[in-house]
Amino acid sequence: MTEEHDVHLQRAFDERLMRVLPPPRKAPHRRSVHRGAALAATVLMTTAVLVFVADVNRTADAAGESCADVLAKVEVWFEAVKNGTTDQQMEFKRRTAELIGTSCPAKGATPEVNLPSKAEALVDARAKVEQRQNTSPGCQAVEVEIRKWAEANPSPSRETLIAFKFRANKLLEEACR
Amino acid sequence: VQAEAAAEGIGGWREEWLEACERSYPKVYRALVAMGASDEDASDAVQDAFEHALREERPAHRPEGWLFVVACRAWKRRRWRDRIFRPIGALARAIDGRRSDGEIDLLVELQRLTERQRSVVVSRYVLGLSQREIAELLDIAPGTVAATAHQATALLRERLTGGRR
Repeated sequence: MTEEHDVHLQRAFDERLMRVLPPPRKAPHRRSVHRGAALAATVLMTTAVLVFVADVNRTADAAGESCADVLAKVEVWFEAVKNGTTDQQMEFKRRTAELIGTSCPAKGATPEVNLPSKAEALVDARAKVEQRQNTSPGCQAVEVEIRKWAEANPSPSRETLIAFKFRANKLLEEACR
Repeated sequence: VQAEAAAEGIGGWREEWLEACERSYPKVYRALVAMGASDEDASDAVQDAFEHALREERPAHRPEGWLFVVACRAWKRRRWRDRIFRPIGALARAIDGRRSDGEIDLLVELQRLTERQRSVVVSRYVLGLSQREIAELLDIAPGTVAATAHQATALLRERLTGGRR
């Protein structure tokens, strides 16, 4: 086989590629770093999504079911009147404004609907504790814990109370199955 | 024990093989750049090839040729991924970045060759492989390598030096 070799071309290659400086070689297991970063990002995103969902649920719960009910009704009603007369639509608008105004909290305002008073919440928690007196040791420990908290916090803020109720219900569900 | 060590490549061919791969790194990196890879892509592709080299069961005759072929495959895979995930604008910038101001650049001229021509020329002039070795590595007939090398060399000579030898 004839080995064709152009000397000028070889020189052109040598001169041009001399300007290309290879970087120091990376560590052999570089990919695992990428995988680790991807895993961390995934965990972070999942956590963020879970926190967001929990926050949305808490807000929805605090706003009360009546708000969701009203919105569902409005939606159904809208379907019925969207092809109706102008008068029907005006009536729809007026009634909708009234319903939403009385059922849903204003944007940014803390909802008051269905929110238990502090005394009611404490009574409710105590009642739950009493109902579960003949239960397992784990369950009783949780109940004691709840009672302690209720006694230690006679006048909690609204947010603290809601958070406490959620946590207490969850703990009771897990421990007193 | 010696037989086992030989089979494992401990203290024998494996260390020599990896050392030879290390020595070939600058050449293979430059070959990838000559093929058209960006600095980052070339670095990643050679890195992939080194990871394959660690798992290789027996040494290849020419480590630089072997690394080049494996790195080229890794680079191609990466290009496919980039076509899907990287915005077109970024790719266009990466290509334009190689051009110098009006100067006839060997790397730019190489991009005008077909991929096979480019592989053959780069293997010949950057890695210093013989036509027979190129034929084995690229899995093409020796006659095809000779013809491809001849055409590609003529084209490059024409574009770079106006046909002077």
